[in-house]
Amino acid sequence: MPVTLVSLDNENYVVDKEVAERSILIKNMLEDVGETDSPIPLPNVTSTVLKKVIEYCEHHRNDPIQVPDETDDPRKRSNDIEEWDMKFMQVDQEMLFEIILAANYLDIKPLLDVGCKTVANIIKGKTPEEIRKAFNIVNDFTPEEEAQIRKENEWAEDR
Amino acid sequence: MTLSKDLPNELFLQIGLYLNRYQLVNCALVCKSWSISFIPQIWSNLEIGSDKPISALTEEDISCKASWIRTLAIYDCESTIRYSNVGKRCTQLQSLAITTTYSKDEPEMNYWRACRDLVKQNRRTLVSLMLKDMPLPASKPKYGGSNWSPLLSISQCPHSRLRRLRLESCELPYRHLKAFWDICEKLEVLELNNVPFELPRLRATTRKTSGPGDHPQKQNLGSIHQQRVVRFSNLLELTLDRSGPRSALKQLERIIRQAPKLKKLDWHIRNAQFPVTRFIYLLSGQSKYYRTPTPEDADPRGPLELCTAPSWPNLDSLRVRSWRYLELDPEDYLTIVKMIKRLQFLELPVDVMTPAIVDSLLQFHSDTLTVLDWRTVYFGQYSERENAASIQQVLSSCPNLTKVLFRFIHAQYLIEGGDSWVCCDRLEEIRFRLDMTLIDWNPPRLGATDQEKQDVSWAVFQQLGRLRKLRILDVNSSLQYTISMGLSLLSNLKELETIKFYGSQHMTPQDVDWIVQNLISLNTIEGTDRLVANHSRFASRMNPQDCALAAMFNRRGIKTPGSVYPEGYLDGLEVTWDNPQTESVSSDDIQTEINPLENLGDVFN
Repeated sequence: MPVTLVSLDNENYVVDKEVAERSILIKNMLEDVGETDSPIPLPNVTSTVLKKVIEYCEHHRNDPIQVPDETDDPRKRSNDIEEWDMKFMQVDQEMLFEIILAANYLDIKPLLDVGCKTVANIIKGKTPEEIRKAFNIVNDFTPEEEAQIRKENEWAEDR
Repeated sequence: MTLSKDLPNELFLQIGLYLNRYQLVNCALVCKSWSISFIPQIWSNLEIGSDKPISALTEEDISCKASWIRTLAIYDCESTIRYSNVGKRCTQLQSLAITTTYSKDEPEMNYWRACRDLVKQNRRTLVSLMLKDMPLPASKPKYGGSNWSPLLSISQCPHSRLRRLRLESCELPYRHLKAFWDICEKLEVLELNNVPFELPRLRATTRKTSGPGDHPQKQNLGSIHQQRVVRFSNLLELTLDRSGPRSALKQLERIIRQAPKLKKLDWHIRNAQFPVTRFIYLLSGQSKYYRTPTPEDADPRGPLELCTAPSWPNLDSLRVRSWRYLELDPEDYLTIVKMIKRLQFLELPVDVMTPAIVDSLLQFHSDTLTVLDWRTVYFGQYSERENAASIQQVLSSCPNLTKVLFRFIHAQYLIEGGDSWVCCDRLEEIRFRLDMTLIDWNPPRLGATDQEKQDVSWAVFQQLGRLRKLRILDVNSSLQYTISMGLSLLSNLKELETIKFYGSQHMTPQDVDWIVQNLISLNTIEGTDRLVANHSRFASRMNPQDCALAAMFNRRGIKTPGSVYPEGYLDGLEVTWDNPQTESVSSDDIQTEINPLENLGDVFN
């Protein structure tokens, strides 16, 4: 049974239920209301982002549902992104962050993970200045503040 | 928009999970809003010890960050005392590990006070506690303080959320036992490692002695069953390693049996027999497996209780080891295999692995098995071919295997059945000895030609190259990790972290380059023969080629544990390899400078 999703800017998208249920938010909504034809409004997601998210869900429609793993190692690995996902994430940064926000709102854990891994991979191996450049961030520290943070966390720098 | 500013803090936390501490510091230095998100993550997990980099900080430096600490490990007495105020200022400490380094003198009063404060202040938030080498005071302590122990402290806290407890090499004197027992009622994971203790005797009223001729089934069991307290009602995982009462039967009856929800049991029996018939009876809960206790396994205070249902219906991982040379009868092993419903992992010492066992393992559990450890398994009179066939059979029927460990296999069998492996996409760790010699000669002769050797090697690499999720590759063989022998077939192993090999390696700089550039997750290369200069019993002379090879890997961020070479050793020698530092390598994967002497530590640890 198809489900109609409505974006912030009132675009309608008709997708299979199976695809829509990749989002736990939508899945729970559908369970609450039962069988319904009425469209589901998603007021936090613009149509460009929603299109992208649906593309992801279509591709991963048959994936097994992810179980949260409670491994002892709190640090996770970010080098295990699938090839398709990697290509999927080759978007400009604004889009990247929009996708992460949407994945968080719609509760699509695998997409959120891939998004965070992608951001982490951009950060890795960069100096603070390079990170600022990469994300177009203005340094709002005074030199004193920066020195203070450096000093307090110096121990963490040599592993 | 500056996108990053719009991300809520919780998403920064998610991103931080993929970064190490060094990278977190860099993030904290980006801008004010980032620093608010990332600085707490730098401090969330601390290891304190006199040999840790953090020891450069004063107590005040750490204390003011204490509210961010979630995981804290303290490695020695001095540090516990020195940073004793840190614990007082933690507000969300969830995991605490304290190691007491034993010395001749008993730990001083300050130490116990520091420990007390640490636990007492945080006992409401603690979820996980580990104590190592801690001599709990057995009698009224001389320390002038209260009768203190971390266990008492937590047991007296009604709001304790402690779910995981690990004790290692601790004494557990009688007066702490009750506290320990109380804590256990809420635990989900309990790990006892070398913690011997005796349990109090059961009161005589709870036990009835059976008269001669009494059939055990006919006894009035009412009183016994009513009085039996289920001690570990929430326990899911139990490790009982040379711990608990001396008698293995008591360990079984009064600890393991008291955990009806148990999923995972790792039992290492100290100096006693594995009470296998009793174990099978409790596991099955069926009277046909009941056997009247023989004098040696009977509890002197009465008959063993009956059970009416399987004691651990959820058990899915079982490992039993015993100090004494003991091996199970294949029949018993088979029974255990059949009794466990969804088996993920099973390691029992078995006399001989028979095809019947393998068949029933696969018949009942092929979908659930995740770990296969047959390193101690003996295939008896069955030939090598049948042995290999069993392994082949498992690999081609168990789709969820992640770890496969066994003694040895001929390369030929590995290659022959390779197509049918169903666990290719899951396997993360393989350890076995791979015999690279051919066995079916045609025509029969003594040695293989170079071409044949090369063909075998390429075929083996092709097979290994299919295991895309592999993290640990330990095929203890004379496999040559060189491009000319087929190394490049491993190019899909993007998650490979460790390679272990045996025998000499004739790697060239090109091979090293290939490894560094293609195996992007690799961080350790371990060889037991080459790359381990100065580590042999016979030769104390170092081989410059090996050192150069190790140095090359080290410079590019790949550890070679055990291979020691003094700084500057290579300078005066004519090692013609180019300095690889000048080549372009993604700075992502490489730590810039590695001090060769750093590896010295690995040898002595």
